[in-house]
Amino acid sequence: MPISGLVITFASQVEEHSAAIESLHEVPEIEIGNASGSKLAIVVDSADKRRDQQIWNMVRELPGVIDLAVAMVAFDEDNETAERESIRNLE
Amino acid sequence: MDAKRRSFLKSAAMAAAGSMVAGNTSLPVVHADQAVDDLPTGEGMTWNKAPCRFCGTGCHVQVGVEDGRVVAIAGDKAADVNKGLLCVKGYHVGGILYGKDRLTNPLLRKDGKLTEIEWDEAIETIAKRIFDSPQTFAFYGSGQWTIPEGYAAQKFMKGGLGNNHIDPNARLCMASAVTGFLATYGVDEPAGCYQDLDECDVLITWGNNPAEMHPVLFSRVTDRRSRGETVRIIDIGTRKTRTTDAANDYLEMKPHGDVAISLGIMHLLIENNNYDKSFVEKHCNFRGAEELTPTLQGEQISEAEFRKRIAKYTPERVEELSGVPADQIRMLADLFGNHDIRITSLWCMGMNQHTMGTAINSLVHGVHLLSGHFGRPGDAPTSLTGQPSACGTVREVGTLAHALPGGRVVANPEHREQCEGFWNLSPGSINATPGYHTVKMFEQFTKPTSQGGDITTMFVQVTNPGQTLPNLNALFNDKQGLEDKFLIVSDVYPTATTVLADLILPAAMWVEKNGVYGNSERRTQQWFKMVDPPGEARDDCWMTIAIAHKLFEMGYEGMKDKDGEFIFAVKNEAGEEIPIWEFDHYYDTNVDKHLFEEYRQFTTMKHKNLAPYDEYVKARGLRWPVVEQDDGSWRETKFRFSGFDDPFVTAGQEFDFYHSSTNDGRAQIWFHEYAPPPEMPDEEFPMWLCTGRVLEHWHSGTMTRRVSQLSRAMPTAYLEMNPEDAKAANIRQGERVIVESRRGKCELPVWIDGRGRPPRGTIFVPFFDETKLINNCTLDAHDPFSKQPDYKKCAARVKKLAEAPS
Repeated sequence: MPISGLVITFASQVEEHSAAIESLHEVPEIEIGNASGSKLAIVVDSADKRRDQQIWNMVRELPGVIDLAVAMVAFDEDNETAERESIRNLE
Repeated sequence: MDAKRRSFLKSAAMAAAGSMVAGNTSLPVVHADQAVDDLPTGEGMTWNKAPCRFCGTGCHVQVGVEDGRVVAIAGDKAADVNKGLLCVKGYHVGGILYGKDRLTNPLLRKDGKLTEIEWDEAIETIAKRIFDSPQTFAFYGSGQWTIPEGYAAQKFMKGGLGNNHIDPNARLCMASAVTGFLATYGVDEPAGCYQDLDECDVLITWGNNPAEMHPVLFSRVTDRRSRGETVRIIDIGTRKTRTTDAANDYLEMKPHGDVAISLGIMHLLIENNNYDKSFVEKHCNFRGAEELTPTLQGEQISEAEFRKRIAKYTPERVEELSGVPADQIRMLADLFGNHDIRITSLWCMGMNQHTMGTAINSLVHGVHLLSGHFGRPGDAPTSLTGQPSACGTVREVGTLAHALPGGRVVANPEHREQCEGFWNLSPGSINATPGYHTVKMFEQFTKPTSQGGDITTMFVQVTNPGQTLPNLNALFNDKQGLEDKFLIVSDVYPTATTVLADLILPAAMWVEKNGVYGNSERRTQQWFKMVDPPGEARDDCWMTIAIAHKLFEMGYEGMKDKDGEFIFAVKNEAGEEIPIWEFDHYYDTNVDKHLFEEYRQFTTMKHKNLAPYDEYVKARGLRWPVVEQDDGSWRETKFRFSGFDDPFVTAGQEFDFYHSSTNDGRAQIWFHEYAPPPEMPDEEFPMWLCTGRVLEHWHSGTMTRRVSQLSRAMPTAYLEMNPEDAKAANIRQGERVIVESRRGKCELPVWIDGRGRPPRGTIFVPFFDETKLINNCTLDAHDPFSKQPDYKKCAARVKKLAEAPS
């Protein structure tokens, strides 16, 4: 259940992108924070990593968004590490 | 996760994002003291600083720990290197500790099966093999070794065993940068620093893709554009990359074309008479390789002779050799001929993994020296490193087969004597003959003993040669079935190397132990242990000391100093020895600090002075030389050899190359003839194969492939292919192919017009995927000076899987 602090960079001042902001408000897992200039802080708190990826993709594709950067990512006891088949040879 | 804790983490995430927004740049600049304050504590969470575990950039992170577990990572805004920003790997660096298949017990292969054993048996097994045959033992290490780990390994081998068969994986990634610096300045490592990226007018990337390999550094450049500054990026490469996307100019060269391009620039600077005569007259000599037996020192040549030799490298001739149009060579020469702008060159594996690696490194330094684009902020030839302590541990501690700490070498009797003095060893303890470099070391290990393979026991720490060596079938896979060869591997996860290991040792990693790294800009960075390693995993440095002490107990003379004391003895204030070879007592003292302070004595000998350990505890790294001021404070150095900043430049001098190989304070401008690559495409193997890395994975992927976000983003290696080549071969997107060279083969899916766009006749494969070992195909031909192999160009062919012979 990942929690990420993200910074969206718009092509111009944040207030000029009301349609994109509205789209962000419609996503229940997103909490919108401070804006300054072309940058906007958000937190994404999603149920699983697949949903996290969906939200990430959706945000990046919003009109006017030119960059999405991570400011913090939280790891915890639910952290999923890759379910890879180990090449450890114990046989 | 309970609601209260979730709420706490969300507020921490919002604070981190909010503070970056407040700065209104992606690289917010804040005062150091504020950095940790806006990361909330409480709920039992504590934050502490550490450099990132991955590449050589040296970004700092804040590591959030709760209940003995890393639970959060934030960019460290107090860090000058990254100012709060991290790349995608950096943000997930905490996750690398928690892969499900961490190694947690020593494993010994008995009757072909790996069996759990106790540490005592593991240490005794290793010590016995070394005791029985110390001169056939080899230690293979890494630019991921911390400085204390590398220093301990170095002292163990060269001081304790009198055996110089120690070499690092950095031989495979930056050895040519070392020889390039030595040949040019008489001393290793860049004169400039990352501030050059903030101040240059032109950035030239020579076969380098910093947008993916050093993304935070590249952001420092592209961020300037978002602030309205003009910086021109010129990308010289053999394929289009994400760096190309941000570049103003893309100069596509043939493999080995960089040598011709640099010669062409120098030709035009001379021909047009617009080189920096004053700088050259005051500060440079000309140098060429001896005809019969070339050495790293070369021979002095006159400016007239230099002119004569370089005369044939006209733009048209260079176009023929490099594939870069003559007009673009003239454009580069015009830029270098303009002294009113600042030019920074960046390079990494593309120039280093080159059979002319030393030559091309020297030539690019020469372009900067000849044009006078040197030593002012923004004017710098700078090599980057791919590992977090390739500079600090390998280059400075000198964990190379020929080296001693602090820029000393084993072949020099005075250097050996100094080293024996610092280590309190009997005269003659250090062997004068350099040991085996990496390729030779593995050749000797995988060759049957009866046929002269005189390395029989190999200890590999903190690296994965079973995946990263070139020509794996010859240099690694041939170990299989050799009964008297014994491979010991210390690692955190099972790897391609542990597959053939006889003894596997579970290692602690990153913030599970204390550490010190040295990054690409001469910055030494320290961190403390924050969490315990899992199971029985233990520090690599402890392993080395425990083996040394076992040998000491067995009566091995080399593990005693002149006074009969253990060579790694650490005493408490009462003068009693602390048994640091017992893991339960290893953290009774700060072993890192003891080793670092001993090592620090060596650092003044090549003016790479380090500050006391405690100064690094307070800082986010300091760039050497670090010298004490009259008020007792310690001052770092950003620009070496420049009078305005370097404390070792003679007063009143604008520049002083005080370790000049010609002992006259001058740097050397080299001439090297262009030579063709060691293997060229032909009818049988018609394609150029280049290997490299991707943004999401770090080197052989053993850590990043355990982080699901990174693994999912880039799950498998692939073959980049030009669309025209694919069409001609009837290969469609995603189809599986066999890539084959004269040495081996590898099966891969094809990615056409993906992240990188190779030109016709060339293919690219990343090496991070241990299920697709592209290094079965790569070439072990290496540079004659640096001994670094050429992974960037060999002849290969591509066949659809259905058409390939089984």
